[in-house]
Amino acid sequence: MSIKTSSIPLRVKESLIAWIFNIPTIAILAGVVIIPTIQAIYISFMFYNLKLPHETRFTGLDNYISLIFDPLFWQSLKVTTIFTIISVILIITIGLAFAILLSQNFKGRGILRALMLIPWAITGVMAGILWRWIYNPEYGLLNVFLNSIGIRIGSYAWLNEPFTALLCVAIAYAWSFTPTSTILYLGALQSLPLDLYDSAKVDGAGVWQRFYMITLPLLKPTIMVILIITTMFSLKELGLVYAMTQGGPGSETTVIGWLLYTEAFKFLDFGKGGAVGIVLMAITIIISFIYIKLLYREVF
Amino acid sequence: MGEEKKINRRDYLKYTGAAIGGLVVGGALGYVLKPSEVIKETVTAPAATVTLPATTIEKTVTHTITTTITGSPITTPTVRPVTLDFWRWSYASDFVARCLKRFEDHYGIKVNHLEAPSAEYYAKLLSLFVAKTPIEVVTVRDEYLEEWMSAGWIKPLDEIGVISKSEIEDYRNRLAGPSRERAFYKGRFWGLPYYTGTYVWYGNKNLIKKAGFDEFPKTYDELYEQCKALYKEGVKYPISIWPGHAMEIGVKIMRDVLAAGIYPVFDENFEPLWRDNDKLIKIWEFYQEAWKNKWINPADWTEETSYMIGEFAAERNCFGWHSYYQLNAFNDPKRGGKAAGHVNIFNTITYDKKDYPARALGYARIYSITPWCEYPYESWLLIQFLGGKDWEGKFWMAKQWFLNYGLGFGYPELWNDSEIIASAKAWLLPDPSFIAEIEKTAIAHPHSIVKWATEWFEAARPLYQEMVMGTRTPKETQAQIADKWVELRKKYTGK
Repeated sequence: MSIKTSSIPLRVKESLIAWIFNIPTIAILAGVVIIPTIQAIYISFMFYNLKLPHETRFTGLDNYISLIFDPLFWQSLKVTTIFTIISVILIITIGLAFAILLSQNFKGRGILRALMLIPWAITGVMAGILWRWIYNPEYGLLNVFLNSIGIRIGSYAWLNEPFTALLCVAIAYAWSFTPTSTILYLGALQSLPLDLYDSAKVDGAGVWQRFYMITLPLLKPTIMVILIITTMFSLKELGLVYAMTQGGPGSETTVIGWLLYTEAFKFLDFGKGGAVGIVLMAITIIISFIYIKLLYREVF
Repeated sequence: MGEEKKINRRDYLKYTGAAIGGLVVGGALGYVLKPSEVIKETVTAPAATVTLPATTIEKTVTHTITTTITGSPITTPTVRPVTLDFWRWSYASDFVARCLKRFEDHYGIKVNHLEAPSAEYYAKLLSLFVAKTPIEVVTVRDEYLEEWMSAGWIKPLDEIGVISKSEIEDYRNRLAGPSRERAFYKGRFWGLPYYTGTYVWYGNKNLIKKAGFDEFPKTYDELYEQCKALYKEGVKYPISIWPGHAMEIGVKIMRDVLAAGIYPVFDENFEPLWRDNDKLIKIWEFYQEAWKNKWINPADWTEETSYMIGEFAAERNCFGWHSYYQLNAFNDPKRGGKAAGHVNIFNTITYDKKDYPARALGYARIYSITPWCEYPYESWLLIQFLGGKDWEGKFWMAKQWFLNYGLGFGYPELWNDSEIIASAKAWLLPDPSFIAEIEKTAIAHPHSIVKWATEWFEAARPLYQEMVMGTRTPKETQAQIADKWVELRKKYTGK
């Protein structure tokens, strides 16, 4: 009895099938990521202002050079860095604290876990409006609360004072993003081997020792993942700044996302806006690359 | 199997005859039942110093309008029951919707009333223009009239071929101040005014009396003294710098430039003339000092109108600078709280009064049509209703805006209207004639005749705010604001 075999080798055949199955993903990615990115890079080398459509031309590095000489660009980089550092620290620490709390067995844990997710479900601009009310100098919840407990803050304008505006936006951002980190931590906490804790207990390790010696080292991969995600998202934040401060007072909350929005969508200068976007993309890629390198070296 | 039915010659003639008969009877009935009278409305001009040419509008039930206007003959358009897309920034939306209903009911034209938040309006409209969206009527701030005009996003009304020259001339003669300047910008007819106004200083007379002053300040030195005394008296923030968004900051810079006696503000090559001006530095130092002394509420940078009205109502603010229509709320017993009846306009403050006249800033917002407008005649009717004469020849909408919201009108003849005078006397303190005096010195936004005005505002906002907050010196702010102006001029003009 003879077996009829196909003329196409099995490896080629499998590869072909894999490609066929991947075509929809590739097409979607090409349509919404790859082509727009290439186009953005291309536009960033052009004078491309929708208000001056007849003057569109290739200008090489002009947009990048004008960014280098724009003090607002450097200010926005500084603001973005401070904003990212504050937000990431808050998200990582508060998220971990909540996750540890919610991993304990107590009555109402399910409800609390569900409540934790609320900030996550609220869009950036809505969260911004909400927090603007909280920080309102005259009738905002924060001043009312502080004054009621004896901290005589009066009608302090949190979002309008240069010293507190950015911190307030970062706190609002941490509030919206903390549920994400809490969920990731919770998943990781539940997979930690309990026997390690039992042995540590037998050896006389206290709560803090168990946390520092077992929990924290084992959570390192999760922390790194959260670090990458929160950093990437913080770098491109716009919604909260848009709703809360519009980059002010002065340029105290002018993050790079706000600069990009202003250049591209207020001035319709897509060339310069594109250049800001590419710089932002480059910064994000570099930071993520460093994180990933660290993650693989330290963890795996 | 069914039997095949054939139509014979006799049946054919029978049915055809019946059909023709039916048509004849139907036509005759339609003719008999049709209202035979042609509604004639003879529109006469309201009492005014300018004579309005006799305008006769004949309206039939099919909404055919024949316009016979003394002057050049124009085509006879027919009012079609179309839908017009009309864009404006959000303000008094319900009121506008009610007014538009009157227009719709009269002409049978539907108006698609579209709005964007005030701060977003410019960007929203730009995206629509770039996409060549067929919008009929748009509201234009003078800050971007030049930009929209030169980009071809709005079209001169004298080009649409449905308005006679005499009608245009009539509007030119009846309009005044910034409204006429903007409506007839660079010799073309761009639209009719939504509202107009003048930025003025205002203050709470009651509060300054309590602080020991009989008169409002005339110079920045006097303003300083009064703020100091008011603060001592317990007025939390004697001076309001509300609002803080980019466009208003641009206007404030111009206010200060004019107060320093710099006029014109740039030369014929658009070179800014406010660099290294000591008087301007002194004025800005006043604001720095006021901020340092906590006489200014930082919330002014971000809060909305209602917040600012609340601050005046609670007498936490004494002085402010904005369009005079704000007094409509301040002096309203329902909204003005403790300040109601005490907020007065006073003369423009200058650095010193000695060597230059005080100048106020005037402005106008107009209704225009876009080049993608599909129904020019119907759009013109809407623009007339909103910013000019209605079918009765009355400036109905302008009057409604003033009576309900205190928004200024571009037609001086409306000051003869008894209802307007009665309303103004209640809130436009000390006296409505005072604003007329100030308006005589008013100039339309001097910075808004350039294409880069909106971009310049955005760039100037953080610089000005940082200067007030003391993180930037007035001298360097002057230079940086001027440098930004020059940079944008080069971008838009190449020189």
